Amino acid sequence: MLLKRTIPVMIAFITGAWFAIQFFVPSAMSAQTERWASNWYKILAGFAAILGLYSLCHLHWSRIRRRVPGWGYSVLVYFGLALTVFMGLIGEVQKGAALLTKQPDALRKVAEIQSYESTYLYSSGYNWVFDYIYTPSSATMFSLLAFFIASAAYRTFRARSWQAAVLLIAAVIVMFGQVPIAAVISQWIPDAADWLMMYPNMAAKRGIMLGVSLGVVATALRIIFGIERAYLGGD
Amino acid sequence: MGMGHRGSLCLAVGLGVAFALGAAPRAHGQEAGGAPTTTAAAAPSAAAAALAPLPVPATLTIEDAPNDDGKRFVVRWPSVEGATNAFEYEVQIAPTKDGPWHPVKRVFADTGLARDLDIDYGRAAASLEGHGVIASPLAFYPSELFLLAAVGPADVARAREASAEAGASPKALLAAFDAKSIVLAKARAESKPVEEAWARLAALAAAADDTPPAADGELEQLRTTLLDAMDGVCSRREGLIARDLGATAVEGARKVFSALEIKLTHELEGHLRSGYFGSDERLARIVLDRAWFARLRTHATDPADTRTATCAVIAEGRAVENWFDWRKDNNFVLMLVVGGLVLVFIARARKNPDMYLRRIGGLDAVDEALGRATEMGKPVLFVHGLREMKDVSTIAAVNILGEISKHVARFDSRLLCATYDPIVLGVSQETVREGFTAAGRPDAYNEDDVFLAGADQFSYVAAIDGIMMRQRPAANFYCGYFYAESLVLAETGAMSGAIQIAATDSFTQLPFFVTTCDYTLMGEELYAASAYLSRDPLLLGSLKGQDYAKALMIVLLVGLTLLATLGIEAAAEVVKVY
Repeated sequence: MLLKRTIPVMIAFITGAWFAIQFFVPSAMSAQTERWASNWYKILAGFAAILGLYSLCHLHWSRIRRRVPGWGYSVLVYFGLALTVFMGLIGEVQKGAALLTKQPDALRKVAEIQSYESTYLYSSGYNWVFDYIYTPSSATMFSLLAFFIASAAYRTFRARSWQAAVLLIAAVIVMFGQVPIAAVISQWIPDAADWLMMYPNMAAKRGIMLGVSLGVVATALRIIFGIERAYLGGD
Repeated sequence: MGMGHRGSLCLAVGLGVAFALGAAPRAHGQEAGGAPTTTAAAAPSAAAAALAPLPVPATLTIEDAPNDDGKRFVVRWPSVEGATNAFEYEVQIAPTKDGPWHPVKRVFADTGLARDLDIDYGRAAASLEGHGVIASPLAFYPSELFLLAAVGPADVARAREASAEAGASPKALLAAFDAKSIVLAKARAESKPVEEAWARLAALAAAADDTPPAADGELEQLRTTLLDAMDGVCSRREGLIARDLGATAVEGARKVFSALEIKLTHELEGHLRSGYFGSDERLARIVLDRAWFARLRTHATDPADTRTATCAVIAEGRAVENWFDWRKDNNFVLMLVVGGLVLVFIARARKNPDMYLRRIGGLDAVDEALGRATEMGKPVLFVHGLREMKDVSTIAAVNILGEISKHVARFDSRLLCATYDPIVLGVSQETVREGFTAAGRPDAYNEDDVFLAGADQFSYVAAIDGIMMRQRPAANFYCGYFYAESLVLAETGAMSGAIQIAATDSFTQLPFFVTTCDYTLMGEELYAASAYLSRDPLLLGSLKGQDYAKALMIVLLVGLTLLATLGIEAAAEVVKVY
């Protein structure tokens, strides 16, 4: 109980209370504690990445071992992981070999170039994987959004109630107001679109933001005072 | 807040034109007697005589810049009557009264007003009179400069001479370098051979029994290595002078260094031993924890008019660390009020657990969704947003996950939880495990059911969409902060026929969730969800306090908006954020 409840709640209280106050303290010491906390988070994130990799590998290995439907995709995960790591390491080995064999002056130049050019010089395989496999796949997923927006808009804009009708009219005005031809037809259309965005839309947005801010404060207080412990797995 | 030293008053302006009549092309001003000085180019005598002397303010002060970390101060002076943009003020600062002077800023005589420093002073800027310019000595004396100013070519030459006289004595050789241990230490930290040479020389000088005697030529080799290291540091210094700082700045740093040599040496030694250089906070304090001086000059704006006048007052003051940011006082009061309300209602909930709370449709539907999944024998899918564990929306999502995992365990169903961030993964695994344990079903927990689906936005989407289409979960929960992936996820979920509940504070994605999900928790409902689901009186009390705080905010905003509309500007200032 001490390790699983009391100490974590105490840590949450001390750090939570301090960083609530820290926001109002501009001194260098205050900023330093924020930097420390940020660095701690980065260190934790580094170790957590290993945990994430383990989780991914373990999950897909279980699927392959149990031959669950679609286990072939899990093989692809391993293949992709191995290929990316291999290509990345090859680049680093090339860079290391260059450092060992070249003259000191040349080495200094390599070190000075650093970043972009030397990365491309010595990790072409890794970049090939990134540019020709990862980026197009990612773009493909993103482009699906266009089709999903169309289907979602069709479903939403069917004027089955007066609220849906208002939504439909507002959406048509805003969308039409964004294209140049709207101003050619009537300046009223882009003006109405701007008005909708600036006033009703902005008012709703600010209302939500206000609620969110208060929600954040209340949640933070619940955690700081140990009332909310669901993130520790409940009572 | 530290107040600057107020200097004596300037005497009246008046000698400028007389000096302008001198024979030299440009006569230098005088400051004797505290009178403002004016200089002018050798313009035709009649024209110069017709020119009025440049105005200079009567006083000049340095005061600490408020609400900061003590790295800046404000040079202030009163407005001069009839100021126009025909002339401008130039503020200069220096580490000593005698200089070297560094120009900080030039402002037109009708600009550079202190009331415009609202970024630094906040609401208090409105009541400031006269002119003000922010200055930071660190702009001219970066802490690294002090390291480099600690040694110059002359010091290297002296070390070279002293070490040459050391002969075959390691102790004498060490003593020749010891005075420059700062530079050597710096060199040691940057170069392994130098570090080894220094260690070897120290060992030889200590003359311990187990130290092998120096081989022929070894002492000379050590000497060369250490002198080369000193030369290297000097080259860097010269490079820095040439590139960025200029010899004047280095000389200024050396003056400060001379004045504070003991402290600097002590501080520097400490820093060098710990391996910190450059912009270290404590080194910066060496630059800042001392009095600085400011002076003011007036120039004509017209490039052809080369008159200048100098305020006779040299202001003295220092920058001080501040412990409260008064620009955020409204935020602080609001935090106390909102926090107080929440805590009051939590206390009330302890006494009276039966509190009325408005119904939230989406949360009432959670049991329905989980029951449906149980009946259909299909899993429940919980999808985290894309933000990290340090974001409150992710913490709120984990809180909801904790409650849902208890319900799923009680219903003897299966929970899949997709995460985007490894830290969120670790916390979620622990939360779900504890949830299953709390529900009395620790055996039903499967670690592989809480997994990292991807650490990239669209890889994450691809993995989750695949799960939706292959495993066909009966209920999908989207909790946390989402970006462009929201619609792709929710639309795929809708196509798979699952009952969907979203909870997000991402207002740009709300329309997509409203369109495609059966229930959507908007904004603060995300933060209320775990309290609502757990029905814990204390948590419900905090929700009640949150609602009252919102009511208070609405009243405050409406009231202040009305006052501001009626022309009371102070009303708008109350809620202004700096």
